[in-house]
Amino acid sequence: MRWKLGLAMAAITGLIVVSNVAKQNSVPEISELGKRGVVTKNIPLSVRTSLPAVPSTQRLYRLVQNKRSLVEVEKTARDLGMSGKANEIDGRFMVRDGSNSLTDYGSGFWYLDEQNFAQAQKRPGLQDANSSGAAANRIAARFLPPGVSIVSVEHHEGKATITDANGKEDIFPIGHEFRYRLSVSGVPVVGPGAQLRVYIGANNELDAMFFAAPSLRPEKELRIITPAAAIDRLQRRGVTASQLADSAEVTEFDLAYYVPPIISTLDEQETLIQPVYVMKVQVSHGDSVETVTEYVQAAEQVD
Amino acid sequence: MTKRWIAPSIVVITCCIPVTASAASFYVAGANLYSPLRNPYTGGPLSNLSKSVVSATNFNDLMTAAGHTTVQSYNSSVVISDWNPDSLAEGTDLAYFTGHGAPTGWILPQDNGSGIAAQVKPGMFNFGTDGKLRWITLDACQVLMNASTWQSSFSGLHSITGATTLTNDSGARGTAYANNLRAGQTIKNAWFNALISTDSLAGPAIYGIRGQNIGGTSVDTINDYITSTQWVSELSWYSVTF
Repeated sequence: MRWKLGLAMAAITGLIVVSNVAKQNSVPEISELGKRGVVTKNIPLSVRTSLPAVPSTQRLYRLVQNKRSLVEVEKTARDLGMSGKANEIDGRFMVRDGSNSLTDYGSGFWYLDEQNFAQAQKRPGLQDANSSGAAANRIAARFLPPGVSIVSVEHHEGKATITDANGKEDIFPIGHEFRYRLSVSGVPVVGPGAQLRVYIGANNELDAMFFAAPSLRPEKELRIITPAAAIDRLQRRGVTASQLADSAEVTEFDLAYYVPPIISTLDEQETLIQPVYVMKVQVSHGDSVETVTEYVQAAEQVD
Repeated sequence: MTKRWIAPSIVVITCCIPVTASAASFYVAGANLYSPLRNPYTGGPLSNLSKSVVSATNFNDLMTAAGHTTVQSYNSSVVISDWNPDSLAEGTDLAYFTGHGAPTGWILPQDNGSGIAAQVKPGMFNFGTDGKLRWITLDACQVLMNASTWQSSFSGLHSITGATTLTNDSGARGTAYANNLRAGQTIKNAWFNALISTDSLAGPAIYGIRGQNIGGTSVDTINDYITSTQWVSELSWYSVTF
C-alpha cells in the first residue's frame, strides 16, 4: 500500500515538474519587434554567413529598475560639464544649464546641447569620422558603469541640405553619430532600452548622448530554437523592407537579448528580458538591394 | 474602434504637473487597421499595426493633461479630408500622425476606390495657407527619405519631423514625444529623442523653412518650440538627417 502511495506521489510530482517546465518555456510575444515596412513572406532566404552553435537553452533575465538619487544625477551632469540642480519632472530627473539639458530615466539618460545638436548650418571645425570616433570612444568609456561594455560601433554621418529660393542645393556634414552595441554583465543586449549613441560636433565636442543600459537579474533557463529554425521562423513571419522582396540573404547572425524602451518599462516592476536572434538581411527586389536588421524571438514557445 | 472628438483642455489637474507657457492645439491621428488595403507605394498588401493607436492616445492624454487642446482621429476616421483647408489638422498648431508611411508620403487606412490605401503626397496640400498649422510630426516609415519633395507643401508650415528609415511599431513613442515636449524641448529635439529612445535602428529627420517673421527678423524654425506660432516667410529650406 505504502509503495503504491509513493508511486502516486511521484507521478503527481512528475506532473507538477513537467507542468512547470512547460510554463517556464513559454514566454510572451515581444510585440515591438515588428517594423512597419513591407512584409514579404516565404521568399527564397539563403544564408551567407556561418550560423553559430548555440546551446538548447538560454537564461531569461528580469529588468531591475534603478531609480537614481538626485545627487547621483547631479554628479552625471557635472561629469558632462554642466552645473545646476536636478529637478523632478514627470517622474524623471532633469538638469538644465543654459542650452544643455540632461534627462535621467533611471537606467539611462539623454544629454543634449540643444544649440548644437543637429544644426542645419556649416560647422567649421568638424573633424573626420576617425578623429570624431576616437573622441566618441573616450566619452563613451567614461560613462559606462561597471559591468557594461561595448560590443561594436556603427558610424552615421549627420547631413544637412539647404535649398535656396532658386532651388540651388548645398549638402554638407553637420556631425558624426556613433551607435554602440552593448553587453551588460557579459550578456549581449540590443533594442531601444540597451544602446549608446554619441553625437560629436565641431572640434570633437559632445553635441548629444543617449545612453540606456539595464540592470539584469538572472531567472530560469529557457528552451530556444536552433539558428536554422530561427531562419525558418523569419521566412514564415516575413522579411520587412521598404520594398517588396524577390529574395533575401542573411549576412550576419548572432544571439542577443532584446531590451524594450526605457519609457515603456518605467511603470513596470519587472520586465522580462528575452533572447532574440539578430540578423542582418540583404533584401533584393529587381536591381535594388537593401540591408535590414531583423529580430527573431529565440524562445521555443511564444504565447 | 473608431472615435473622433474634440477634447477640451483639462485645467483642473494641471496644478500639479508642468504646463507650458501657453496652450497649443494638436491634431492626433493613429491608424492600426490597414488590411486588406494595398500599399500605394509598392502595390503589395499593407499589414495591420498593433501599437500606433496606443501611441497616439498616449500622446493625446499627456498633452491634454498638460492643458493643451486636441482633436483626435483613429483608424477609419483618419481620412484625406482631415488635411483639407479648414479641416481638422489645419485648425491646430501641430499634427501628429502615427501609422504606415513610404518615401512618397504617409498612408491612411482609407480606400482610394480601387483597394489601394489613400496617401498624403508632396504637393497635395498647401499646409498652413488658411489654417494655423505650423508643424507636422509623422511617426511613419521613410516619409522624409526624399525630404525636399515636400517643399511644395509648405505655405506657412514651419517643419515636418519624421524618419528616413523604416521604424518599428512602438506604443511608447507617443509617450516619449509628449514627455519631451512637456519638458520644454524644441519640437525637433523632442521628436529626435522620442524616436531614438524607442527604436535603436531608426534615423530621425526634419525638413523645414528658414525666413523672416512679420517684423523682418530672421527666423530659423529648426529651434521652434510648440509656442513659436509666428508667421515665417520662406527664404530657404533645410533638412537634417542622421
